[in-house]
Amino acid sequence: MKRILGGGIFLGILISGSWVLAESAGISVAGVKTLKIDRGLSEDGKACITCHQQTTPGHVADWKESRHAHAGISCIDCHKVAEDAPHAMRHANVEDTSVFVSPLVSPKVCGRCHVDAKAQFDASGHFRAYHQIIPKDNLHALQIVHEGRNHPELSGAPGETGCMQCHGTEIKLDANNRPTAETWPNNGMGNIYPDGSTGSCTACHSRHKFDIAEARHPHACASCHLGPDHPNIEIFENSKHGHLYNTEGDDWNFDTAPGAWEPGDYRGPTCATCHMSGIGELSVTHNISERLYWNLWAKESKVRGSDDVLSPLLGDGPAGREKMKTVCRNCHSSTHTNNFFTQGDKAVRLYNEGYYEPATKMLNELKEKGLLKDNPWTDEFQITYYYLWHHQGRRARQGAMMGAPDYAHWHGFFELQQDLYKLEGIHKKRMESGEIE
Amino acid sequence: MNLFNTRISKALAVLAVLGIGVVASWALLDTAFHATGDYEFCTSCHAYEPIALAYREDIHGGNNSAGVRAACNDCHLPHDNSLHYFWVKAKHGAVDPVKELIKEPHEIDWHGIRERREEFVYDSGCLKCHKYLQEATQSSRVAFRAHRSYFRGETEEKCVSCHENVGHNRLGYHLEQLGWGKPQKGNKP
Repeated sequence: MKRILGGGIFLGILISGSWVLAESAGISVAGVKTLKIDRGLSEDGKACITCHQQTTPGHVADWKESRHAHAGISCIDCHKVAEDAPHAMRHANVEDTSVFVSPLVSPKVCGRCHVDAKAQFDASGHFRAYHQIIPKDNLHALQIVHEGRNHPELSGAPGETGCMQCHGTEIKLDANNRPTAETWPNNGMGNIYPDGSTGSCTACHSRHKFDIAEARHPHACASCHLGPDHPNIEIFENSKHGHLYNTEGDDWNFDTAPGAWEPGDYRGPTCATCHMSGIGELSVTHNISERLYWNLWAKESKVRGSDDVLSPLLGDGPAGREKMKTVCRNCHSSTHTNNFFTQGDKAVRLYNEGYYEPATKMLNELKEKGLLKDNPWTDEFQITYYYLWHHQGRRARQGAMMGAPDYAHWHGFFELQQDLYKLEGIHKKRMESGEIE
Repeated sequence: MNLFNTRISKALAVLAVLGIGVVASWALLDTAFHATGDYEFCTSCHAYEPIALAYREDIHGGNNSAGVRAACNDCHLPHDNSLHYFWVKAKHGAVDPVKELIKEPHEIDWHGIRERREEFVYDSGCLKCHKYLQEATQSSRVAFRAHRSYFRGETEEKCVSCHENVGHNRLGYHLEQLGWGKPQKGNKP
């Protein structure tokens, strides 16, 4: 009897247990499904959330974690556009509404509230990310003719899946004012939006959370600043700063108010700390060119000194250096700081004088004598010259200026000397024989 | 005594005439300003047809339950001081009718003109009616952040930099319907 009773109870528990399991599998218990907010939202605003928590719960889940949600800024405040805006479209399936919307939220929209951030961005090197590509015919040839094989239908693929995703593009619209598949989606930094504004706030503050903590982590920068031609995240990880971040960054506070994120919240800086954040006497800036001395990505490194936002030398080098030293001095002595920059500057000057100048002299001599191939991508000399400045040359310079020994040396100067010897060999052969091998 | 009386009465007469003149010229100017500052007068030119249509269906054009409307010169003339107001009105009063006479309506690049909206919509006009906007926006979570930089003087943006189509909400639609085509370029950044 006892055994039967025990068995019955056991069975009962089993059945009710499986009923609970079945129930939770049958209906969603995601918190977001029961979201009900009245606080300061318009009727249109609430309507977006009501539907989208069902249709795209990811959007709403992000948003409810955001500061926008705290402040009562909802979907409609950023996605609503004027009826005659170039990108105005009726919401799919909601044709009876008087509201026009667009998936495209431009920096101009963000700038309505984030006035300073937009003004600073508009004066920064990031503004140029796509604009600088427009006039570069050799780059278009590389993407479309060489990489895209001049394919009648598919030649855009390398640019669309590659370049555009970081550099941005001019977002084009179809007949229904929806963005075309050739130009969107992308999170390219320098997008030109149909309303004429330039930029992409979501490049660092991904939608729909737009988190300041996210943008303070090096990963926000790393989704573009990586790889053989500008291995900035690898350089960071190779540096002592990255060493600290990787060992204990999980315990740091990334959520402090703008301008108040100071040593103590962290033991070492991330990209944002040095290049953007308010630290010590410095104010927050979205102008990432403001604290720079050199241009470290061009063929030749020159000291910055231009007000033209489209110039590669945008900024004020000496003033930028002083600002960067102000950052350093929050944690380092003056001697440490000054000596670090002396070391770095020496490496940049060596690249300029020891590699860029002789390599360019040889290139010009061959060009003058007609000893360069028309297709640079089949010409050993031109390919090596390209790697010299665009890959190894940047790694050496950027590695040196951001404290990454392996990138300054093995991925940098070691490969540079190999390139230069190779260029000298080809140059000698062509000059002596008068023909391309 | 007689002389004194004559002097006083002469002075009084001069003052009276002056006073009547001042009042009459004020009445004349005020009547003229009002008669030539509203929708009926301003949109009597052909080129203004789309502007008028968009205005009349806009909340500022009277499409509201309160039956109020902002007149053209409430927004399109400066209200910072009377002389400025008079000068801009005189300038437009001279230039605009001449353009109407010498140009075909469709030669007027309304799309291009709209992009320069900050030049002819005056914040002093907006703030004349929206007098307590600063206080009003402080109590709204959404509006406070967006207007704070403006009222602190930290931005060069004007009211219409953000409120782009205010007063003529569907103007783009009407321009297109009446033969002005689509704008070639987007608004300026």
